[in-house]
Amino acid sequence: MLCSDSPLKGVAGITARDDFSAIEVRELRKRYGDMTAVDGISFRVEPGELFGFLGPNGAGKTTTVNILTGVSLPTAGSASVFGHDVVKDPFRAREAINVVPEVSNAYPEYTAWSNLMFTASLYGVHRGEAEQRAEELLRAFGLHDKRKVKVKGFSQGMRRKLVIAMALINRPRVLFMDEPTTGLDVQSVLSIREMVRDLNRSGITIFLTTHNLNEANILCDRVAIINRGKIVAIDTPENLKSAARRVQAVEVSFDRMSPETEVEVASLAGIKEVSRRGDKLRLLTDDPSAAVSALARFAGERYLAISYINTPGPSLEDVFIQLTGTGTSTSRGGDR
Amino acid sequence: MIAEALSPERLGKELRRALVIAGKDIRIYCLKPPVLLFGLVFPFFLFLAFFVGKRGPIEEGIPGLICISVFFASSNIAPAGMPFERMTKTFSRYLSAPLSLTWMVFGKTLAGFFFGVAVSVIPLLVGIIGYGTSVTSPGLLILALLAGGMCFSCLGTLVGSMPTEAPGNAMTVLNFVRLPLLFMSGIFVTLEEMPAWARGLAAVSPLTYANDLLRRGTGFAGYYGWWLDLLVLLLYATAFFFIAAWIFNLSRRRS
Repeated sequence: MLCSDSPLKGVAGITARDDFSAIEVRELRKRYGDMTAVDGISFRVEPGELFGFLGPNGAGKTTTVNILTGVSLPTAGSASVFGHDVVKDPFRAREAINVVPEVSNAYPEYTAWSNLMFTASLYGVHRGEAEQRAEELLRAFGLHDKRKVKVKGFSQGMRRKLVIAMALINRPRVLFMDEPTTGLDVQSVLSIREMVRDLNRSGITIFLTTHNLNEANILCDRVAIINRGKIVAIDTPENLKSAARRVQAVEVSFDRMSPETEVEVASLAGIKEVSRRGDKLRLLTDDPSAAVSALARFAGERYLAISYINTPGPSLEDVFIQLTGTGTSTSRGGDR
Repeated sequence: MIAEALSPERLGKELRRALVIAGKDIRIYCLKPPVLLFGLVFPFFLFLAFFVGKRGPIEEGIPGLICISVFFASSNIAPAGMPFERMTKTFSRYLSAPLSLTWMVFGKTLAGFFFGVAVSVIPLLVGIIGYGTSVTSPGLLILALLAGGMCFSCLGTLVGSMPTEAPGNAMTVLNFVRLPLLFMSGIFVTLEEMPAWARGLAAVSPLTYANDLLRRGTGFAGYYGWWLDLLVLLLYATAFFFIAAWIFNLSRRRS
C-alpha cells in the first residue's frame, strides 16, 4: 500500500483532458507469415480509464501491447495515443506513455536509484526534477532504504515495485501494465493492486493486461476480452456478467466430499457443468431453484450435510469461458 | 512530422538520449568477462604471439597493436550487450522510449566507439614509453583512432543486431568475422611485402586502412593516401550502421 504522502495523488499534468481518446485502435492487424496474431481489432480507451485486456494464452494480448508501445510494428491498421499515431508519430506517442512489462526488466547491475535516473534521462526528465521524483517514488513504494542496493539483490516483489516506479518517473499519461501481479506473493499482489488503484485515481489512464479474471473484475472500469486475435466483448465487468445471466451459478459444499460426489452432482438433472473450487463445487445451471432442490434431495439420499450453499450469479470467469470457449488457466505461459 | 523530426530541438533531445544509452552501456558492459577477454586480453596476446614468432622489432608493430586494440574493443560492446538485453527484456525499454530506432542504434554504437578509443590509449602509451614510438602527425593519429573506432563499433553494432538472446552466439559470429578481417589486413605482414593477390584481399578489410592511417600518424610510411584511408573507413562505418538499423527495424516488424 502506498504511504499517505503518496506522490501519485494530484500529479501535475497527467489529469489534463484532451479531445482525443487516450488510446484508439482501428482495424489493427498483425500477421506472422500465415498466422494471424491480431485480426483487425478496434477499440477506444478514454482518458482516466482503467481498461482491462483479457484473453487466454496466445490470444494476441501481448502482441497488441507491443504494437501500442512501439516494441513491434503492425501489419495493417492504426493505433494512436492521445491522437499521436504510434507508427507515424512515435516520438510524441511514446512521450505520453510508459510500460510495466510482464518481466521486471530493471538493470540488475544498477542500483534502484541508478535505474530510476537512467529511465528519467531516457524520457528527457531534467536532472533536478528526476531526483526529486525518484525520492518521492522510492518512498511511496517502500524502497527508499534500498535505493543504493543493486537490483540483483532484490526480491521479485521489490523488483516489480521498482519497475512500476521506473514507469512513473516521466509522469506518463497512459501506463501499460502487462500482468503486473504475476508470480508475486499475496502481500505483494494486494500492495500492487492498491498502487494500481491509486495511480488510476491520480488521473493516469491504465491499460492492464491480465490473465487474472478476479483482478480485472475488482480493478477495471471496462474489460475487453480477446480470443484468437479478435475482440469478442468489451464492456464493464458487471454488464458482461449480466449478459451471461442466462447461465446461473450455484456453489455448494458438503461435509464429506469425494471425486465421486463431483461426478454424481454433475449427473443431476439441469446441471450443465460442475467445477471444483477448493472445498466447494461450482455448478452452472439454467434453473438455480431446481438445482438447489436437486442438491437437497441428493444430500438426503447420500446422508450428506450441506455445509454451504450460495447462488452468486455468474462470475467474470464464467463469462470468459462462455465467450472464449476455454477454461481459465492459472499456468504461466508465453503469450503472443 | 518529418520537419519536426529534423528540428534542432528534436535532434538535440535524441542525441542526449543516445548519449544516455552509450553511458549506460559503458558502465554496465565494460567489465563484463566477454568484453574484457575478447576486447583487451585476446588482442594483446594475439599481437605478442605474432611478433615473437616473427622476431621483428616490436616498435614497428606498435601501430598494429593500437589498431588491433581499437578493433577488438570497439566491436565488442554491442555484441556482448545486446543479446543479454534481449534475454533480460531490457532491450524493449529503448523501443518503447521516445527515441527513434536510428538514434538508439547510434547510442549503442557510441558506447563501442568511446570504449575503443579509450582502450587505444593503453598501447599508445606502451609504445611511447616503452618503445620510443613518436607521434609525428597527431592529427592523422586522432583521425585514425576516431574513424577506426567508429567503423569497428558499427561492425559490432551490425553483429549485435542479429536477433539472438545468447551473447555466446553473437561473440562467435563476431570472431568469425573479425579474425579473417584481421589476418587479411596489412597488420602482421605489411602491404609492401604481400603478393598482389593478398594485397587485393587486404583492400577489402577496413583494418588495412585504419592501420595505414595509424602508421602515418606514428612516423611510418603509408601505402594508400590518408584521405583514401579515411574515406574507406567512413564508407564502411556508414554501411555497417545503416545495415544494422535496417536489421533492427526488420526484427521489430517481425516481432
